[in-house]
Amino acid sequence: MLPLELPVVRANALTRRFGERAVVQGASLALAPRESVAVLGPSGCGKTTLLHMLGLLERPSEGGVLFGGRDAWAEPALERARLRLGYVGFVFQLGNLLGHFTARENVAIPAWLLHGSRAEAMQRADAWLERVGLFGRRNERAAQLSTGEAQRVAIARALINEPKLVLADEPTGSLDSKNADGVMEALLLACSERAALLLVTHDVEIASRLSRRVAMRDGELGEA
Amino acid sequence: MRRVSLRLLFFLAWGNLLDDSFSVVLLVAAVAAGVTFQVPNVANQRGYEAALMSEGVSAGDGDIRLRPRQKAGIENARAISQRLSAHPEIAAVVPVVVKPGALKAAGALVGAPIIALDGAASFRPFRMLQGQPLDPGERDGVLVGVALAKRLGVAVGDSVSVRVILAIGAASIDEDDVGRFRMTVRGIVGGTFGAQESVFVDRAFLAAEAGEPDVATMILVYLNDHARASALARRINAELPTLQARAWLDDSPYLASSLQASHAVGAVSQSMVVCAVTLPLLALLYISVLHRRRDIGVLAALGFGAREIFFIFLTQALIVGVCGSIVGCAGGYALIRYFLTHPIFEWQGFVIRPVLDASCFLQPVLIALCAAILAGVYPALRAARLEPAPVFRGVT
Repeated sequence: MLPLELPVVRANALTRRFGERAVVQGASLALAPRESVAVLGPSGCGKTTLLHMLGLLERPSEGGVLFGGRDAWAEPALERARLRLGYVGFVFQLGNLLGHFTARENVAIPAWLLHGSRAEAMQRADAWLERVGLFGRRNERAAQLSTGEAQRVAIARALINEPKLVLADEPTGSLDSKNADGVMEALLLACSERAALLLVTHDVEIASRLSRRVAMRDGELGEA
Repeated sequence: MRRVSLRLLFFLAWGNLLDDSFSVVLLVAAVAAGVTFQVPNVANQRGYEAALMSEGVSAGDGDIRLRPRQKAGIENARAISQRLSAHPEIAAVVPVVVKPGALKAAGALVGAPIIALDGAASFRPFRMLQGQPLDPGERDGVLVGVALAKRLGVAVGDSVSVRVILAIGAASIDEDDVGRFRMTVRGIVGGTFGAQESVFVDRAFLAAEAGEPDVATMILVYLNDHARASALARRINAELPTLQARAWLDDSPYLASSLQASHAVGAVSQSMVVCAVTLPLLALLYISVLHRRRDIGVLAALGFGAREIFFIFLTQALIVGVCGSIVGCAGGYALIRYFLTHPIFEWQGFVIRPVLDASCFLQPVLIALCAAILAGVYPALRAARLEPAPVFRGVT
C-alpha cells in the first residue's frame, strides 16, 4: 500500500532528447489520487513523449518518474512491465485494440495476465463493458466496432485492473463531438472513483472538463 | 517473478495467427511441404536399407560367415552347425559348399561358382525369382542365377550341363577331378550380392560327388537381430578358434558402405528440409512481426514483459509447426500409400518399398518442429526487444 500523502505519480524534471533536440525539457508534474489533469499543447510539442515517459514506455534522458515514491525507471524491465499492468492504464488515440479479438477479449486480456484466470477476467470484462455501455457488443470483433465504440472498449481495457493512474493520449482526437462526449463521460466517470487521470489533448473544451490543466510549449511544461 | 498463464500466451498467439489467414496458410504450407516430402523420403530410405539388408544378409550370405582359418574346408560341418543352432539368437545355420565350375547350355560354356546348400534350408543366399527351390537331396535339379540364365538363354525346365571342379587345392587338375552333370533348371534366382552369377545345387549331392560328405566351404549364420552380428561373431571366434567368423559389416564392405551412403543421403535430405522449412518460415514470421509492431507495442503498454512477448511469438511458430506437421503427415501418408503400390525402384526382384512405421513420421515431425522453433526465435526476439514508444509515435 502506498502512503496516502504521496502523489500517484510524480515526474521530476523529465527530459527526453532525440539527438541534439530536447522534445521534453525538465518537465515536473505530480498527480494526486482521483485528480484529473489535462496536458494542452499543439501537435509535436512533446505531450505524447511525456505521457510515454510517465507510462514507462519511453526512458527519459534525464529525470525520474516516481510511482508513490518509488523510482519506476530504476526498476528492472519485468517490474516496469508489472507496474504498467497493475498501476497504469493506457488509452490511446485510436483505441489500439487487438483487431482479431472480440471486445470482451480485448478488455479481459490485462486482467487475465494479472490474475491468471480466464473466467475471472471475462467476468470483469463483462462488468466493465456494461459500465461503458457496450455489453451488447461484447462478442463483436474489435475490427467490427465503430471508432467511438473501440475507444470505449479501450477505456474499459485500461481500467479493468483498477489502475491508480490512467494515461490518455488524445482519446477523443478521432471522434465526432457526440462520440467524444460519450467517451469523455465514460472516462471521467470511471476515473473519478479511484484513478488519477492524465489526459493529453489539444482541445481546450475537452481540457476544461478536467480538474486541472497544464500547457506544454516547446517541450516545457507550465500552467495553462 | 510472476507466473503467467500459458493459456493466455497460447490464446494471444493463436489469435494473432488467425488475424492474417493468408500468411498462416503460407506458413503452414511451408512446414507441410517439408514434412510431406520428408515422410515418404524417410520411409523409402528405410525401405532401401531394408532391401539392401535383405539382399546382403537375410537373402544373402547371412549375418555371420564362418570360414576355415587354414584348411580348404570346414570339417565336421554338421556338428558345428548343430552346436551353433542351439544359440537362442541364431535363426538358422546353413553350411554351404562352394566349388569353381561352369554351366553349359545351347553350346555355350560360362564359368560360374557352383554353390551347394541343403534344399531344406530355411534361409538361402538368394531370392527365388521363378520356379521352385530344390528338394532335399535332389540330384538332377539346379537353380541358375538370373544374369547367368539370361546370358545362356536358359529358362525353368531347360536341360543344362553343370561342370564342377571337385578337387580343390590339388597342384594340377585332371579329367577325373571335373564332374559333369546333366541337370534340369528348377528355378531362376536373384540376389544383388553374387547370386545372379552363380549356380546352386544340393549340398548332399555335391559333397557325395566330391567325397567329402561332412565338409563345408562356409557356414552361413542367420540371426534374428542383424545388429548383434559383430558381438556374436567375436564369441564364435573365441569358441571355435579353427574357424574365422566375420560379421556382415566386416565381410560385406559394399553393403556396409551402401548403408552408410544411404544414411548420408538421408542426412543431406534432412538438412535440406530444415533449410527449406526454416528460411521461408523465418522470413514470413519476421514480416509478421514487422506488420504487428503496433500490436506488440499495445501488449507492452498493457503490461506484457519482453519474455512473455517472446513466448507469444515463439508459440506462434510452434503452432505453425504443429499444424504444418499434421497436414504434412497426412500428405506424407498418402504418398507412402502411393509408393507402396508404385515402388520408386524395381529391378529383377530388388524392390524398394517404403517402410511404413511411426518413426517415418516422428523424425520429419521433430525436424519440422525444431525448424519452426529455430525460425521463430529471431522474429520472437525482435518482437520482445521492440521499443513501443517509437511505434506509437508513428501510429498515434
